[in-house]
Amino acid sequence: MFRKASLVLLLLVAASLLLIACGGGTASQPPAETKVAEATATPAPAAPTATPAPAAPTATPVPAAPTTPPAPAATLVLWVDAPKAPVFQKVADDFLAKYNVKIDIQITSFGQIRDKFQTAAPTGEGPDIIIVPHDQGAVLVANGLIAPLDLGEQQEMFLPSALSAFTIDDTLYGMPYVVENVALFYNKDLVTSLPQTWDELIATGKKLQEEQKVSYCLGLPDGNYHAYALYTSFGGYVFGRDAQGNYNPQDLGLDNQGAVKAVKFIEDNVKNGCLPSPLDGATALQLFTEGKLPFLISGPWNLSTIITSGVPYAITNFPENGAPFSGVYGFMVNAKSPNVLLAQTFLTEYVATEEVMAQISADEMKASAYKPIFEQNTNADLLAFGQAGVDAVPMPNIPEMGSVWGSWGDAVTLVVTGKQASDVAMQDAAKKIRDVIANPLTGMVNAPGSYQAKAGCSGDWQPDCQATAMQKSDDGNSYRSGPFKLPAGDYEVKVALDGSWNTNYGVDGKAGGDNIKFTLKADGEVSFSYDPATNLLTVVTE
Amino acid sequence: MSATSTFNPPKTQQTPFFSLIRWFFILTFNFGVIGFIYQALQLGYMQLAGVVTTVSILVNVILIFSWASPYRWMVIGLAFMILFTVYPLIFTISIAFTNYGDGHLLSQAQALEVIQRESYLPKTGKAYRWTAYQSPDGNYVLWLQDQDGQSYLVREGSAPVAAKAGDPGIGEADANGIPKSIEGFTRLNPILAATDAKLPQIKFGVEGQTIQIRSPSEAAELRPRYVYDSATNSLTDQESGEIFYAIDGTYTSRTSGKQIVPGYQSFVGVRNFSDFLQSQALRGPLLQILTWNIIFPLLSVVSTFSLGLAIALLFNDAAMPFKRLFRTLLLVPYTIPTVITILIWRGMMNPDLGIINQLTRSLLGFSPPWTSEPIWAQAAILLINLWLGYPYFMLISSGALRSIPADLYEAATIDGASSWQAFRTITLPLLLVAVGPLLIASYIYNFNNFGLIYLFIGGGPPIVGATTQAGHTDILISYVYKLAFASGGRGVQYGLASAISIVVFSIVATLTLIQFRFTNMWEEMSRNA
Repeated sequence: MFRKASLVLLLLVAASLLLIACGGGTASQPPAETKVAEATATPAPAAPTATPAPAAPTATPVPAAPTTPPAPAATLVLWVDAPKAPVFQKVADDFLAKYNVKIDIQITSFGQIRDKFQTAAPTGEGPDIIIVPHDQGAVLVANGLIAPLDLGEQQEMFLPSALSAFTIDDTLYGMPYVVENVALFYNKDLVTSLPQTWDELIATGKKLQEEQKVSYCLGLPDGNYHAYALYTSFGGYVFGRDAQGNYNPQDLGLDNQGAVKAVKFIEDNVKNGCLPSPLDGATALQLFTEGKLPFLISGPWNLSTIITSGVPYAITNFPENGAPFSGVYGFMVNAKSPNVLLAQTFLTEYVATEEVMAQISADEMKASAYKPIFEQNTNADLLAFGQAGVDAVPMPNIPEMGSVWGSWGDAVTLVVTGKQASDVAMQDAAKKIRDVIANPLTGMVNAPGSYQAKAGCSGDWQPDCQATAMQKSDDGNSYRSGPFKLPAGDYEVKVALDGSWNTNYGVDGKAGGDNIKFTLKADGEVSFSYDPATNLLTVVTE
Repeated sequence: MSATSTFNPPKTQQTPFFSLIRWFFILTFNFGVIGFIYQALQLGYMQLAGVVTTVSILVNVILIFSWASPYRWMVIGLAFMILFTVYPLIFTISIAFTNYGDGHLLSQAQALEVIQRESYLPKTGKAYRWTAYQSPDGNYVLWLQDQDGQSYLVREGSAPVAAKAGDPGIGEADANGIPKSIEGFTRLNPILAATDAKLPQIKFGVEGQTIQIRSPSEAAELRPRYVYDSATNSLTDQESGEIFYAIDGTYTSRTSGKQIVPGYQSFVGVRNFSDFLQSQALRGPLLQILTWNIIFPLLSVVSTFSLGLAIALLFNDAAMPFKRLFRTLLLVPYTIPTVITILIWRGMMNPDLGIINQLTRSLLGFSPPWTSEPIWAQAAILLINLWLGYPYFMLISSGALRSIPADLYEAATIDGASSWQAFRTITLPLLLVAVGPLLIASYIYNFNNFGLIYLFIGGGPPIVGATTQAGHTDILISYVYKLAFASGGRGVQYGLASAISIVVFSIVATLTLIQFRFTNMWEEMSRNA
């Protein structure tokens, strides 16, 4: 029996050697991949942005280009969701014909692009280019999976708001191509004069409802995404923005007067039967196409359904300058792609041309993010969407946005079902959201240093280690920690606040100063005390 | 097949042909497994490779050695158990002690690779617009144009030379001032140039002042931004001189607090557990949620079991006509995917347009507020779960009823017992012996029945005045999910998720242990009976 076993073992070893030898050929590819793409970098501030000579479109093939061989010179893999695939298949076919570079369109369902990319990209298996909405792209950037994109002179050709949606920490990570936002649809047979205020809109709807022509005054689909224009026209907002236009998660505007007024508006009109509660988007769309709704808040994704239904519709702005959320779709390049430069070149030299941009925008029935196409757009519906979205705010791409929807939605539910007054509900919701967003370690005073591992922390220099956190003294004038039993040796320490390095003090209480040194000649005990008035740390060794 | 034959394997029973097939199977299996392990190792999935190696060694031992051959009938089951039960358990536990999640998705090596790829343009460095020219043997020269309109020609290994279109060896300029040709080289359009993945790696110019292509529009004298020091596991920013130390999976500056993106997966000790214990989640209406979490599965089990048993008793009556037809029809809810059933019920219970509400409105003049009133929402959940769960207990009970000896009932009838007395003293106790463990299993399943709760109305309606986002039908797992993921505020955190699932698991395990005590009680009861 053991003889048999050794025979199997021998065969196994032979087999595995063979396999590894065979695998070697294919396996040599990944190391080659990893080295590439060094050329991508954050644009340094000193980089020139324009050359004096006006740039002619460089995408036209130079006549001197050598004759192309029949096999594609290179292949780029593009992940896109099914509805967009035919649009990009056309682009890919043309590109292959013109430049002999194959674009391999792989269909990935919309909800999965982010997750699948996060799984595939770190191992080098991901696509070269993905198409994502900007708020999803932000997470991919935070995970280090996206190569920065330098649009060069093309930068000026895009709507600044669309570019800002793909800009994170002053670096551009994606090339936007279409912008979408909701707008106000109305039934032209039912509505003869456009409402200038939300109250007028309700009055128009109410009159039609009393004449039994419609079921409800306004189709407001479930969830606050669609209702956002209502909030903004009354002065409410989710997150405020700082001077650079970045969202500030500490500035939450959901419990201000405007937001409360908007919720009150919804409440009143649900109570008087003008608004259904709750109404899902599909039902609202159906009622509108049947002519049972005078107004509907909806986006370009429902345009084709509405057109085919034959209902006499038109699209207009929100009353009282209501600004909806906008979503920007764009291309992002995989940082681990072996073809980063080619992917970028494909985007900046081929896709970012009037011809292709016009084609994608028309096929997707969404407003282009490319200025020349956006400006020469003649489609009345897209123009109307663009008008309604002139002041649209990009959906915040900061992770804190995830904390907002649930509590916000709950608050509106409570108000509409009569459980809570609008102001109390919104204050409660805002408090819940702030609690989740706030740093749980706010207020912590710590003395991180090279002694921490020996004092019960999982490592040294940890500003958020509970084991060495300092306690406020009884008189409230200082913070103390210790005594810690430490072996003899040289140590360094600093003071850090709120469990992070963002605020820290070193020698002489200087912010961001040098490390404070102390020495234990023999094994002994060390205590620390910190004076918040002077930011000085006192080390008491025994 | 008798058990004794496997324990005393007759040596000559295997025909050479059969033996050949067996060895062929073992070899194919190992060949495939080795290929898989090799791939897994290459991609850095050490744990997976380890588990698969363990499993395949186990399979080999069982298949090759005769003393292990009794296990050969279990080998597939064992292998799958290890792969799909034990491995995920180990994986979850190990993840719970790391910061794996958004922002810390990559391994340290992968994160360092991304970080070290970053470059910067020194203050004295120059950036150019580039055009590439290729010689027949694959060498490149670049035509560079700087901001001032100066143009240069640069090759590998020699400094850029100022050049103009029309110079000797250089062709005429096009509209942008770029020569149409250079002697010995062919001009490439930008896309054609980019098809060579090696081009961006080529360092043009001389050492110390090399020029690299960094984007379709720019080539520049780039330097790597960060230099890694493996001794201290730190990165130094070449531009500012700032040093970034590895702290809990993020390179962080101890002076400015700045952090380098991306972070990497790293061991963080019990941080996830302490975060969870300090989190808002435990300050919310936890007691209320826990109460519902205990009541909901209890009521579910009682109601589904009662209805299932009642129907089974009905069918146990021989006089029942069309028994088969009805039994088949009653099994239908069991065969439709739960997700679809829940969504259909949600639609039917829509207060304005749902069929149930339209019906009750026309019949009773009342529309139950399924989604807005706590008590109605809880009733709706129980009702849906009753629909989903009774066929199971109907099946189980009708099987168990058959096994109760008929003579017991005969004796009872002779003694003058009513049918209710017979049910209470004979049917129920004997049935519970068989069904008891399944009731507990059902309780545990419903204790964590995330799908039902989340799909119906996401745990709503919201609890008024709660300090966290919580609803009246939320159970522990859906409540924690909402806090840790849907509204985590810091993206998806797999490490925290694993820690929470371990905590929830320990609660369920405690409940299970307590309830196994009760099962023992039942068994003893039946033994004494």
